[in-house]
Amino acid sequence: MNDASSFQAERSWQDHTKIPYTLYTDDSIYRQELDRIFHGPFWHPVALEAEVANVNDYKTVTVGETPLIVTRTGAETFNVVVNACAHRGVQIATAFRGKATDFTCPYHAWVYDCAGKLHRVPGEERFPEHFSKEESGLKRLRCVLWNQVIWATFDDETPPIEEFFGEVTDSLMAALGGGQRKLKLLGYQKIVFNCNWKVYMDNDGYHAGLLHTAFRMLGYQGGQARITADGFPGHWGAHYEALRIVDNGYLADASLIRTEGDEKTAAVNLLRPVTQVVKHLNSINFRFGRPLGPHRTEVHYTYLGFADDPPELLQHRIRQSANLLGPSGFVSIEDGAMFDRVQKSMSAPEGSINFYKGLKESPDGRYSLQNDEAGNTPWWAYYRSLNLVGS
Amino acid sequence: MTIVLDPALLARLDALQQKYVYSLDRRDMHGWLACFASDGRYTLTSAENQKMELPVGMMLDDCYERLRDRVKFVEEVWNHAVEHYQSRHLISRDRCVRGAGMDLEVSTSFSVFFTNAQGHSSLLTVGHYEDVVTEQDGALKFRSRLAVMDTAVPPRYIIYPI
Repeated sequence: MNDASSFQAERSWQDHTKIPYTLYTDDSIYRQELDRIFHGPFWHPVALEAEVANVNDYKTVTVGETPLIVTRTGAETFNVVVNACAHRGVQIATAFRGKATDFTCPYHAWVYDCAGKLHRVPGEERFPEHFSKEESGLKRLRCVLWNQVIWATFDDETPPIEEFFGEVTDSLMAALGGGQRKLKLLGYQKIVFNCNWKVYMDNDGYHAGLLHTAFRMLGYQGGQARITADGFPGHWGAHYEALRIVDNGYLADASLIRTEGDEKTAAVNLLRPVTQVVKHLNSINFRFGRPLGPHRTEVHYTYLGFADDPPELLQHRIRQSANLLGPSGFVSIEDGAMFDRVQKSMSAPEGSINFYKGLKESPDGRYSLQNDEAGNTPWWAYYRSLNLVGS
Repeated sequence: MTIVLDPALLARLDALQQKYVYSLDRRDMHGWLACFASDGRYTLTSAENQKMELPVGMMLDDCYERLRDRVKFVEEVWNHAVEHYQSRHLISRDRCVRGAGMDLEVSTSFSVFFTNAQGHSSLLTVGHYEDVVTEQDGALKFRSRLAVMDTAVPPRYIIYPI
């Protein structure tokens, strides 16, 4: 599609259930999203408490395209700073995770503490008068510890976090054990999906029993739980009593689909802009996402157990987590396959992504059913209100 | 721990390694399964997970039943939706020692390229295998094959074992 027709498609876009392809492919739209959404009034998960378990542990993470350092400075205190020296912009920390009492920029040996405060500047006596050490710290983001996750925002106007998630809070808490039990880090599956970050987040409940051959072979068609969409950008979540999958002999090792212990609930959450938090069976999975330009999305599937898990249950979680719901998982490999195949078609002129199922009963998408796609539309109503237009 | 120098034994080991990559690069999952001992296991993880001693990686087939199930995943379950790719494994053995028992402990570097249906090729992952190889029914087999990817973030989803 040429620039002129792209501009037309976005200008004439009225229906938030019918999304022009260009919103998923246009580079200038993507740049506006970084500014208005990723640097806008959103809480982004930057680390799980379990990833920075001890004082002085740190993790690096990228929100939008901004690299950050998350540091634990006390029992329940954390700092989130931009990972770029205030002098020449050198990346301060390069490891994914590490431990540090301070951060020294290797270029000119400026030393910052874990809160980003500048402590030492070699040769400072020959700096001009207007230089201020106090004003030359690492840029800090507002952050909050909530539900064993550290959330950060670039925007002073971002609402309080429970207001931000609204009614989706319940299913989010359910996915992470209800806030009563301490989470334990079990490992990462990191992957690039070759799709726009919004294609990844458009994933719905409608497809589950239709796309996933694994469910069909196991004779499992999912449930009819209620999906709740809430918060100003239309997060959605479902929290339900999952039907146990009955072993029909298809798998040689049926422990992959077995629910051990008394964990009866499942929870799925899509948090705007690009986070998914899922608990299915005994697998607990926090998915950090980030866009890599308009055509690719990187996702860090982060697997969790509980610190008080008995050894057998912990081992079961590990075995289930590795093979069930990740980018190469028995059930979920097909999700990634669809993301890539959707993006490949998006250069077709005048095409659109369409949402239908469940809108008959739920025109606003606020409350819909698990096997619907209506719950995805409040997000698109919000997105349309941003009036992003390509160049 | 003794470094194995016996050319005949190393030739048998290389034959097992070749059978493994020959099978995978022709999407012959039964040929892949036949490389494992009856108590065999296969793990695919990242060097990042390994360094942090985190147990969940990309694939975890820690018993023969799971190896058999992986054959089904590729041949029956995923076939209709995934975009298959042609893999190409390049391997180079850099160490073979005999431990206290009779098993061989082998380290081998790998790089795996993929070519999609449109004919575009890229590197899928690079890393190394840490293997325990045993003699079973007159043949060498993997008792354990651990594939450790230096590539923490592969550029697409991985369908077949590495």
